[in-house]
Amino acid sequence: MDANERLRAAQSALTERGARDVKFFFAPEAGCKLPSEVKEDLVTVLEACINGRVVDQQSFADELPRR
Amino acid sequence: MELQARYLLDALYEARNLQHLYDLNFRVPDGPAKSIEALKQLCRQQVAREIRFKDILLPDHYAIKGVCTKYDDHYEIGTLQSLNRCWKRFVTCKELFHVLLDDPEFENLDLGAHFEQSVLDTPNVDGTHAPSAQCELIAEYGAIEFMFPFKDRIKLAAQGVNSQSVAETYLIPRIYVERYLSVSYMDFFEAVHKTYRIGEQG
Repeated sequence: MDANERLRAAQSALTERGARDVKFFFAPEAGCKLPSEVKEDLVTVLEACINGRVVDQQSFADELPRR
Repeated sequence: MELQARYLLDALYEARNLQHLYDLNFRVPDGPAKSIEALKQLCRQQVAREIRFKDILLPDHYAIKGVCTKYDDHYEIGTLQSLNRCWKRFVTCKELFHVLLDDPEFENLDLGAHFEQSVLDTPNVDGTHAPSAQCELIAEYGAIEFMFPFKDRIKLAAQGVNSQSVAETYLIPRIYVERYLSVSYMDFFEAVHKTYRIGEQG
């Protein structure tokens, strides 16, 4: 599948799971890549999320004591 | 990209509100770097839906560093696991601002359209930009105001500081230090603060 087909498949998968909105962090270097390359990156990241290639985020070592 | 002023002001005031809550609730050590764990706690208190934080098991060379997905009963924020400390802090903070600034007006599950509007900066036929695209930039502005506030940037810009040193002090990516200390960005935010009379926080 090309990136557009993969993106549509990702959108369908998210919709089926009840997603209402998705926002992305596009790094500044996205401006130095071809749009097609950025789209490939986007679908790869989305597919990782959809296919469970995630773990709980590790805590940041910066916890502050409460007053 | 042309922004609606109310979106920008919402982001700046949200950042200031968070700063106030941060100061009230936590014993803040010397040094300006914000605690992202503290920010996560504050956001969980502010928001009705559960917020889940995930590491995405991919290397950090992808142009997409994070994702925020809204469901009916929760948000899920994913950041690339391999990001360095500063990047992971900033990406998490920016995605949290999507949660804090969430509004049905910003919802857009048409990923192809959102991609083109955000990455290619494609305007509508009338020259305006979709709210869902504007809010990508707005969330960044909110995150910067929280992690690298304008009142600090004014002082630093006047001193002519080393951007690497500032990045290490604030624990944010160096590229954002350079961007937000640039003459054009300083002029922009100075004009915003003057036009909308955003005063110093008490």
